[in-house]
Amino acid sequence: MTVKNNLLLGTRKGLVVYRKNGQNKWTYDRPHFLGIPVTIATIDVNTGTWWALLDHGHWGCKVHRSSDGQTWEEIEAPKYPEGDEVKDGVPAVTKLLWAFSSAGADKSGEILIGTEPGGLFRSKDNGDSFELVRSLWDHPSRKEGWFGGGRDHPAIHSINVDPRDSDHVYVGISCAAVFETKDGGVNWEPRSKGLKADFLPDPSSEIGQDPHLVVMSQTNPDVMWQQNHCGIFKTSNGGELWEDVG
Amino acid sequence: MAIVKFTANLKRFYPDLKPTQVQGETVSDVLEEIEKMHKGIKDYIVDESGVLRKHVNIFIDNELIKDRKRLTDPTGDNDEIYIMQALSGG
Repeated sequence: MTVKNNLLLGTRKGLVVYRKNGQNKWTYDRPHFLGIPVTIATIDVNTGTWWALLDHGHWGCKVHRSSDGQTWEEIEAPKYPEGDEVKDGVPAVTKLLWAFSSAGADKSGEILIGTEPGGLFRSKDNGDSFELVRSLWDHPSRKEGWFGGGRDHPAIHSINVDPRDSDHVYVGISCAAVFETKDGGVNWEPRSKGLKADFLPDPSSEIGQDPHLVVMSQTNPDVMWQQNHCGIFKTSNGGELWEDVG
Repeated sequence: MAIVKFTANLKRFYPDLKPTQVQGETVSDVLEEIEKMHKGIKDYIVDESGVLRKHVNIFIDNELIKDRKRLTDPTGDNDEIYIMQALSGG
């Protein structure tokens, strides 16, 4: 069973799996988590682990993993440390698990999960434990400059790891910016030049942009695309400058 | 000892759930005891700060608990504690 022979569709009503048969045709396999919203469903190419991130609504966000795509194990979801706050007086609690990525081909078993209210979590033991990436959470722009858009709080919805260098990572945060680290998450810088956010007093503000899905070219990782409320933007130089392409 | 009864929806995730007698002076104590019996169930009922999830309610007999943040409502012998989900939507 290879990763490429599986198609995972996370829906509001569960996870639907298709598999490629011997005739190279996609065939319906079966649903999982029937009736439960699945925000992320993917297979980590490094470990072959299947991942399903759920949003139960009543019961909170849950993380499930599977070694065979048939039986699932629920593991403890990322949790914010006691005392951390979204804003002053607003305790940080995990509202949504909205982004997932392997940390890179040379970091087997290391994964990243992006959440609302804006925290990035890292696991180095394939999900047995998670740690908040403190450097991004403590970015000086966060408490005053990040805010909710379609969700109540800021949220990380995109994680892109440079296939040439796993210490080089971009995360997309609504509403904040695309942030880049070149040193494995020690330092983070916003990459917003060229973007516009017509809903802000200063549309070219570095912080407060609302990137939606941010996608990186796997053959030329300096190229990324994002769509937001004010257009579709492309960068050809790793986020140094975004150009409006539609 | 109080007896704890669960919404049927939780049985989907914890099939062995059944009305359970538990010792505890507060709702928080009771939840800790339930967690020892059913690992992880507390995360379904409260968030990581210990606050009762928004659409979950706990009743002691016929009374909704008052302290949703710290779950300090006292529990006594023969109390019936109901862990319920709120229904919403149309």
